[in-house]
Amino acid sequence: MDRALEDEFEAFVRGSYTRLLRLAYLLCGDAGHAEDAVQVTLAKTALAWPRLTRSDGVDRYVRRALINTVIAKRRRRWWSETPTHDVDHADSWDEFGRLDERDALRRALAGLPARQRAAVVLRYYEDLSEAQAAEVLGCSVGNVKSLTARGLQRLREIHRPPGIRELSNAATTNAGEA
Amino acid sequence: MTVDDMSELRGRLATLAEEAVPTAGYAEVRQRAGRLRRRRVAALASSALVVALGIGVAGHGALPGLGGGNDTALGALPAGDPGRLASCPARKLPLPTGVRSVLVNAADPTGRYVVGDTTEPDASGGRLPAHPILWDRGVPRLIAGASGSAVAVNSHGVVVGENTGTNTSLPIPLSGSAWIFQNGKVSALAPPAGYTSAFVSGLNDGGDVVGYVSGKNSPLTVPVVWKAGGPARVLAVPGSLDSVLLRGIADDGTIVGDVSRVGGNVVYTWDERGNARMLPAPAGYPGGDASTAINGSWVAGYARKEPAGDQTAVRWNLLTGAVTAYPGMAVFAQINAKGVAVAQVVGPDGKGHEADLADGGRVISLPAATKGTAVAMSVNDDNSAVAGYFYVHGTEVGTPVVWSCRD
Repeated sequence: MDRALEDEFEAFVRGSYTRLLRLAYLLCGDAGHAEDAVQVTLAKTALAWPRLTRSDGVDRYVRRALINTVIAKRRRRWWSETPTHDVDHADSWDEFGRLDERDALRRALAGLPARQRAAVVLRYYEDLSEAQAAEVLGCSVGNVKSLTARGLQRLREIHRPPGIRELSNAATTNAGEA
Repeated sequence: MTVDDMSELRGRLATLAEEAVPTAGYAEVRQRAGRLRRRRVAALASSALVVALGIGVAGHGALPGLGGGNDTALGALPAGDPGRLASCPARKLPLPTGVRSVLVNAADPTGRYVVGDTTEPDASGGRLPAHPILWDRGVPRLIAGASGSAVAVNSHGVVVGENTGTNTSLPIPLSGSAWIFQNGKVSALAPPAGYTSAFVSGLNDGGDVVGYVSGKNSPLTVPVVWKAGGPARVLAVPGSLDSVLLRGIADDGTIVGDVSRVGGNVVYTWDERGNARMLPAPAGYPGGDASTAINGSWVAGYARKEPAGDQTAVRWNLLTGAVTAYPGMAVFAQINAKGVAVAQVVGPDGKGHEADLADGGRVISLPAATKGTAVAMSVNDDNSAVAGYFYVHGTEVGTPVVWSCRD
């Protein structure tokens, strides 16, 4: 990489690191692994940087690389999330209610298969259109629709009692799902 | 799901995502901590998260403690008992001329040598390039000809370090160069052919260095060993592993490092002949573990109950196979030849708030900083001195200190 491109890449890293960290965390559910995934993604991006000239191309590439990194790691069971704790004790613990809502969502996300989780996060956190999400996930718009619908359905089941039992089951079966 | 549900989901996802970002105060320390950030970023980021979630463990559980400033300890305890350090005041190490702020990174096993680097603001609010410092019996010198951070020092005054530039926005820098200072001269620790960047993490008394390299065709890190005076050699790793970070090398050549593999990160050691051995996770902490240091037959590090969950500092005894968890301590930064480990305790504000030692089942709290946060980095092998620094949030000034009862 020549000096100008290096400066450009460094500026990109400074500007996007925290944003990518948030996205990676929603995709994988662990702060440490999110940092690792962002690091790997940025290393891949550095290699591809000279040919990533337009900003929309960069965003698409980086999102795709990050999701592939997280999903590939999950497939290899690089780590496994084990959301086995009770998720509905929030009501009896009012002062930490908001904390537990977050906890419940984290655990519910952990129960989703990787691509369903990615579809939900891309659509409702990144606010991508179905077409944009399809491009990032490398699948059809129809596929995004069904991944999102199934993901939301499952979140709905998991997020509320009596979905707790399903959450535990989901955690043991989510590794190979596409 | 209704439109309102969708809007709520968006809001909740945005709130949850913020957990990935360290608190502002903690980000300050991380940005200024050079290699410490890389060495312990996962551990400390996770412990900050644990605290933020209110599921951290306050205090030291059932472990008996020796409070800082306990004036009965010194007289009652024999020489060599680390409990004496609870009564030893922190003394400031002098700074080289013109230097205002420093972070200490390591000390040698005798405590004679301490290394750190400058952390000075520039005119625009950024940081000036770091410069390595070596103290010999408390006398500082800037290591001429080297730049960046001094990472480790041995009892012969040999120092290894690395320069990763001033881009501190990443937990692991994208490029860097490693160096070694010995016999008064600085020379490069070059990566093997095909790699462009080199980073160091450990040094033993014989001058062997461990670290990792990366390059254009290998964006992931590759573990390497520089045997004393020799070229870099890539360390063979078990199985088809995609990421290995070496953390330290003992005087007998045993290397410790963290390996990503099925079921989470695990700690491995490699003996002189390259035989790999996986260290067991402590009972109740199957969520992955990592090392930070090796000394003699001891390895220090941390383990997690689950990947996003509670975390404990851990000590492994390589001779007996014993593994001990220290709930209430997030991570050990270093361990001495007697198995006494240096701990960082993260407070509810996400900042470290006291410097502790773990000695078997006992916790020794070092006298606190008069101002700011006390950070201990290294305890010497005869338990007579601890090197570290005080860090004041806001002014962002680091002051090098040694806790010692020696004159």
